[in-house]
Amino acid sequence: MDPVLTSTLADMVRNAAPLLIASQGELITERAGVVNLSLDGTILLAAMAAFAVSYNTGHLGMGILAAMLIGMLVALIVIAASVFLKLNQIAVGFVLTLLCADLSTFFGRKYSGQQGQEIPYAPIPILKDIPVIGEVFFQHNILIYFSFLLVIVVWLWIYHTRFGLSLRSLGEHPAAAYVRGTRVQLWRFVYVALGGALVGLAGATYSLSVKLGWREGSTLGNGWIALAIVIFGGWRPFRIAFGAYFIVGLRALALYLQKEDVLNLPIQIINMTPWVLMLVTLIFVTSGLAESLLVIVPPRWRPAAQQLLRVKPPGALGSNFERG
Amino acid sequence: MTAFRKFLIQTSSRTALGFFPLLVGTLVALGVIVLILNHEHVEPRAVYDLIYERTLSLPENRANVVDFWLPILLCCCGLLLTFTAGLWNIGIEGQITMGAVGATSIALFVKLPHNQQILTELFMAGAAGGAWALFTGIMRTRGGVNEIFGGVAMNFLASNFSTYLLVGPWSPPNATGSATVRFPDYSLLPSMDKYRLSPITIYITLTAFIFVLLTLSGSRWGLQLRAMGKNQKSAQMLGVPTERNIWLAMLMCGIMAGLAGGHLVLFRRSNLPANVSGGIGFLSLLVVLLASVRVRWVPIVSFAFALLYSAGLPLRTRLQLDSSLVGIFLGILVFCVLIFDGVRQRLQERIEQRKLLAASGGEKSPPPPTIEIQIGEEVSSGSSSN
Repeated sequence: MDPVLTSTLADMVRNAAPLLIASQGELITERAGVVNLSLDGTILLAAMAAFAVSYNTGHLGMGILAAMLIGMLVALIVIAASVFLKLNQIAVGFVLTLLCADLSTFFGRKYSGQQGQEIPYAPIPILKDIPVIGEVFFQHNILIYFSFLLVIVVWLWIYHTRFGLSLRSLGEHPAAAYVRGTRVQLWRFVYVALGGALVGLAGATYSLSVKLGWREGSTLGNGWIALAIVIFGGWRPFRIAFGAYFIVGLRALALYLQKEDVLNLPIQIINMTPWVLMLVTLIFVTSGLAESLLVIVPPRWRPAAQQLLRVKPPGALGSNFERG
Repeated sequence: MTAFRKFLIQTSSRTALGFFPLLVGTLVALGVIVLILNHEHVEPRAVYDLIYERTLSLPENRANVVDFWLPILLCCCGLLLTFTAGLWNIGIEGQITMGAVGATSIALFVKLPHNQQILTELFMAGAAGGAWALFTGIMRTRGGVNEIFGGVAMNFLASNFSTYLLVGPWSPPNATGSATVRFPDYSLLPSMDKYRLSPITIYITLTAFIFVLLTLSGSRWGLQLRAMGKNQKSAQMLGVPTERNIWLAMLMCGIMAGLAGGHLVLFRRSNLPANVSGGIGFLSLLVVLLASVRVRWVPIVSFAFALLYSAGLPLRTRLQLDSSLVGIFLGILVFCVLIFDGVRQRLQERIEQRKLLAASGGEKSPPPPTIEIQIGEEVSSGSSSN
């Protein structure tokens, strides 16, 4: 295989990791029935904090921990405002995203452009030597491997454990979950905190691995992309992972084609394509257009195709729950 | 019952509690800023003096604040319509950008008699902003794409499109692509003699504000928008044309945002720079949130925001403080007001429950069915979960 293409694919896997982690975190949050709209600001603040803490302490672990704590704290503010004060989750999340972005700019200015630490390269023995696949998937650092593993763990958790069933019931029908004995508010707090910690980890992945260092607004826009990927992925882990790779891959492919002189488009137009495609796909899937085209699919394949195209948000997404 | 709680209950008149969130929010935000300034070894008094000096001390500085205020107020007017209808028009940044691009397309390449030139530029600004917003509305109603995500995508598309124009077809010769050439004088909005203010923008903003005030306070359409904001499904069942109203509200908001973008390039900048909106769309969203979608509060709140924002640059140049400090202050302020408004509502609910309990002779009765107006959400009634 063309070595340029292989390295492009490896870059794609690396660049998609933070999006993958953040979108899986948001998936857990939304499956619990809570919308955390603060992702964009949280990722920025967490990226800055991860860099600043690891820069000052010399410990990468401390940086990652700080980022996760920030993500968790912001997410807990969103859920606490919703549960205790019945505030609109979207309003609180939106204000927090702007506030966190400004905080990252203000407190991160002395770290801007500084050289810091990097998560060490850790190729996986044996697997790294598999032709093409080894270079694309197994010659990265531990955070990148974590991003693949996370998808599998989240999928297993949601669909193959009792806790996952309870998580889904929190988002679909919290009243029913409560009647069945689930402590709705407590578990919502737990899952939202976990989702927030993953969003914080996504920030750390940016500043310590993917876009090394800190610059004002360096991750701007990625939180919104992660939020859109959750919808694009129909609130399902593997489809979300596909969405993250699709978005990053599209950009990588366009850059590759440009490098190879196959396609000569300005970078701004290339930057627009993921958004255009995301909108087109969302319209195609959510407008019912896709389902209406199912008639041309052979009846044998129809249920599978239906399942693939289904985009249904959790029934109680964004709503407050009160014990009756 | 403690004396303090008795005091709270006694002073729970609407006015007293209404100002409670704003007062506490302002105090908390000021407290945090003082802490940050101490950390940066900057005297709060120096910041206050600088803000006063650069915004209110001289007539030309006051005019500059007003010039900053007008596009924010214009955007807020549009957002009042969409928020009332329960729509989160986060795509307003893109609508401002497209308005600026629309105005620039005429300013750079068309030459007409002055009045027609200005009219055409403003028409293009409004049309481009309106079309951008309308598309988000159509995606919401026909495509099932939530207006928040549709709006975010449209923001990125507008931003990339304007950057493409700046580095590509509209790039001046031997330039870095950070701005177009200065527009010819006949393309620019005229200024007042004494102060650098655009009378046309003042008329447009005043008209937009009166229109929104009248629409939301006493028109059938305003009533329909309110009904949609409370519960879109119920409004639809009662015969409100929800789809048409979503399109109209988005279109009106987009036109106002586009005109704000037009003002930025045709008056304040005299060219199209990169990142032309500069965050005023998001700032306007914060204003409307802080004003709790109350039309009469919006001019005052937006003026206060404009005053603080226009002081951002001097903070950086004179005190070596990042201008994001203003954003932090406003963010904390809006956040605290939201939180303490929630506290106030819960407090009022408890007081009403106690009153009901006392009226029923101590017998426990179910809580009254409260109606909460939540922006972008359907009405939640009573103690139901969904």
